[in-house]
Amino acid sequence: MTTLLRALIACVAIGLALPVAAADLIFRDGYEFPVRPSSRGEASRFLTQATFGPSDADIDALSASSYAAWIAAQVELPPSYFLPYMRSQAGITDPLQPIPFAEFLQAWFVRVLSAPDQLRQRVAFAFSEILVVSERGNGLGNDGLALGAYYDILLRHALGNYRDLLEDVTLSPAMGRYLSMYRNRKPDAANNIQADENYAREVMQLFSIGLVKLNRDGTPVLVNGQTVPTYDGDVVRNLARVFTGWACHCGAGQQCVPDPFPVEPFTCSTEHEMVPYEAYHDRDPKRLFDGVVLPAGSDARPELERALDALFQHPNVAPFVSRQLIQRLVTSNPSPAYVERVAAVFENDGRGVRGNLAATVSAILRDREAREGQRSSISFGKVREPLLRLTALWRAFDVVWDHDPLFPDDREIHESHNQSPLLSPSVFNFFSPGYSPGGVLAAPGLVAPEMQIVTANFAIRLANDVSGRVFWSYRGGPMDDPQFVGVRLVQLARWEQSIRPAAGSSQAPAGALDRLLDRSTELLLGGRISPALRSRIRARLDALPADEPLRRVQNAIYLIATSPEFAVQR
Amino acid sequence: MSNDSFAASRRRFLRRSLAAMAGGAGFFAAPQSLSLLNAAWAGQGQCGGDYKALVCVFLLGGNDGHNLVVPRGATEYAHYADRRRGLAIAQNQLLPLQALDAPFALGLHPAMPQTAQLFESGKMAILGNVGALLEPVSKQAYDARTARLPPQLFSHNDQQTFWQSLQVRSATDTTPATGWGGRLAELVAASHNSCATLTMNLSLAGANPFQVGLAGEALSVDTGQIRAIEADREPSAVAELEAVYGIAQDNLLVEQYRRATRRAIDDYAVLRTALAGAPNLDSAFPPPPEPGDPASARFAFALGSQLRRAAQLIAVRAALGQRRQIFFCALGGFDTHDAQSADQPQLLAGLDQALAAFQRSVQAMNLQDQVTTFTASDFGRSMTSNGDGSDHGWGNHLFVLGGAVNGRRVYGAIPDMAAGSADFAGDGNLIPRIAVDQYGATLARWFGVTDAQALNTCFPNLANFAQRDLGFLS
Repeated sequence: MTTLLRALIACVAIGLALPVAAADLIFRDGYEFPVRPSSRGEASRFLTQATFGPSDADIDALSASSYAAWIAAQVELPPSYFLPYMRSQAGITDPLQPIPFAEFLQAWFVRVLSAPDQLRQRVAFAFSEILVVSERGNGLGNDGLALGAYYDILLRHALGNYRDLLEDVTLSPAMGRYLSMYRNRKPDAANNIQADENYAREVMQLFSIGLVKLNRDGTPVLVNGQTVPTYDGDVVRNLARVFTGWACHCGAGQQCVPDPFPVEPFTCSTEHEMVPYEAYHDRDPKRLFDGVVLPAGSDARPELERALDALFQHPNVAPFVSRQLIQRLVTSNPSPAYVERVAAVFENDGRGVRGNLAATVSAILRDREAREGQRSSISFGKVREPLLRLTALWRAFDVVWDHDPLFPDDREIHESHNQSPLLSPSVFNFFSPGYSPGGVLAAPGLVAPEMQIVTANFAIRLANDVSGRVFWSYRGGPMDDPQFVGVRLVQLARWEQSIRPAAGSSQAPAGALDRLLDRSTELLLGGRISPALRSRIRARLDALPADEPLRRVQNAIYLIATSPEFAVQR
Repeated sequence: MSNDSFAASRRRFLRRSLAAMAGGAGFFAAPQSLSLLNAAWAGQGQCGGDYKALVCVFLLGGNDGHNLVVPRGATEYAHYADRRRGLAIAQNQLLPLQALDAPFALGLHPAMPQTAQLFESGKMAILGNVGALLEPVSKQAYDARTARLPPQLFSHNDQQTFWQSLQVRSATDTTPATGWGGRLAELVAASHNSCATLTMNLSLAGANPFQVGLAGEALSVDTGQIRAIEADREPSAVAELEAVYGIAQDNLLVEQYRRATRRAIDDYAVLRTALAGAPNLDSAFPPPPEPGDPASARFAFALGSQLRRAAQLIAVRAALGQRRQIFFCALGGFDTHDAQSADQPQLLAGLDQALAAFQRSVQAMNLQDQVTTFTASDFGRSMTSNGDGSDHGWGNHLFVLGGAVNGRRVYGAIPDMAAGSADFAGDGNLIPRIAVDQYGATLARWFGVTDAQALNTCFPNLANFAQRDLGFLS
């Protein structure tokens, strides 16, 4: 073991022992986290957590406001839904006409780069990685309609209530098909047929309560040192019978049949939720977890409502959902105290409402650990998801494009980034919330979920992608050409101008190179850069000709955006 | 210790030479530099010697083994068909297997003709009813809920992790989690791979628990181009970037990212140089799917491109200084809750084509006795149908392929599915009779670990089972 590694582990051991006590001390001393950003770098940090990346204009706006006011304004913004955009792009008016999945990916890039409701978009994307459906599964291939409708559900409820989100997700044709609740039928003992367990299992394990009982702070309940299961195989089999009897809504113009269970003559791809067929719904009683029993004789919908209520009221939901949202937005290894503060808001938003997601997200973003954690902990932060690296770079440098359809390379974004919206390899998402890559993180028991998809080849490809975006794809650059339709271009002219030597001078204006680094550091690194990285970049800029200001700007951005410091949001 | 540091400094030297060659020659070094390098280490006695590779093919999602290997005898088939109903494969569709010493006739899924041929020619064995176990489990104990069981049976990610790690970790355990591939590599590295320029564990399917050792993860190898850092409009920035990756960092996540990328840059330089001397093999493996192809073409290519790269890495083992290699490949899509009768044949056809192509490549290199391929999966599936699919189960049937395999045999048993069979728990799940620990330990012994204590360390549940070697490898 190297000395460095030993030292790092020692630091972490201390760091893990301290946070709660240290935080209390800080608060006893009257310290409070700020209501507004204390610097442009702080504003940038917040916006990195709450949006698809800060621009100078966003930083200005937040700096003139407060965190709470910014969040409140975001919550009030109307959702920028996907389906209306997708249909207009595809020239489709019939609500049942299929839409190619390519329209969804285009909508995603257009929305996350330019929609004003950034907080909602970011939280919806986070939920797309918790309540996972994927184009790569169970007949959803190229079904932009079903998947676009699903993403609109996430957008509708991202800052709404988790109970509503869970119900609309459960009854969506996309989830119905992805986890085979669609046309799931009651058991048929004579033919040795059981109810399909797929959705019942995953709605508990992944979407609501998880496998083991949790304390409110997200740590597992231990009895004699052992975790306690939340449910067993019998509960799965019972809950599977709850989710029986649902098939597609049949709209005007479709080939409607009285009984769609043997054969459905069309693909279930519609914005309309699934509808019950009581003949296929199991009416026996069901024994769920923790003594919850659903009585015999219930119709499909009321029974489904009661089952979802039971899941929603389970004490695990608040820490289970809160912790994962924290991991998606702020930090991979939140302290138990942070999880507990957020879970408390999930349980009660202050007005007696459980599952208020706007309040929960606000608690996540305004928490002292989110706002100050980077100062005291060497394990604070999260590796940026590959897609979020790209959006952050683009938005920081005022990305523009002349035509919405994506340039071919970006249509295959998963090839270079190992990630693409609604394209997870399974319901377990691109990466697991508990994934640890070993190495310096293994010994302290820390996780870095996103590292699961940043394998060797992608570590290199992600760095090379920055080269393409910065040295090729800028306004006025080689890719800014009508033959390359849909290329997203960063705008570097104002940066170039800021360091261009004045007429008659052979030097950048005094202090201009430092200002360039300061501003880039604010945008990309939340205002913090290691002295070693900064001095290397500064030396690099000094070595480049002053009369090539664009090249200097590009080198500065390239070296920051490929650095390990940018790879982790803190 | 001194051996270790000698090996380490030697690795650093070789790595530097390889990287220098790679740097000097752009993407691919000239072939003669490879032979120079081979000469550089071949002079060392400890660098030469026998070669062996293990290739894990993980079928993600839980392959339905009950439809992979099916009883074909009249009585046993009737029991099978009665349990499976709509999921059952027609008796006359099954590919007959002439297994030696089998208690009743068996058939293979009709989508796997080349695999059946491998079995018939003695190059493959079937492992019947293998699964995740901590100790032998009786039907009585399971039904009474008194059996000690692996954590979270029937959960995909937990069972993938247990299968690959064989560890039961407490909630408060902060020691590094490792996989049995990672532990196995660490047991044989010093004796076999002291001249290696890369880690023994090479993944063609990304990060996985199987290949994690105390020293870290497998190297993920791309199935396509092995890239370097490039900035083609500003080439001199590349050296600056690489220098940045030499700056140690305080924040642990940043430091982890830095080290992982630094390692990727260095290891990929080694790989580029070595693979320049590898055969192309494109025509030996399933081609990329074309529009209109059946889904099997997609699966064959997905797995075949991983196995093709594995075959190339086997071909350049000398250039990598590796006498032992462990590969991890994976194919997804086996979670057939829905439309199983349409989907599983496509998956198995893809598996059949990819495995057969790999076996032919290995034979073409005359390494069939030195490369052993084995399949794995989350779990088996339920015997019952849910209408058009099957649900999560437990015991499963697996394959082992290679010239070292005592083939054309079934190890363990394909259970008779008669009503009241003691092999099935009250909830209908097949109770495994062979533990993954036994399966792995048999592979590990062949790979070079013979010490009983070492095997117990690598396979933490092995001591709870009487049979430590299942006998399928010689």
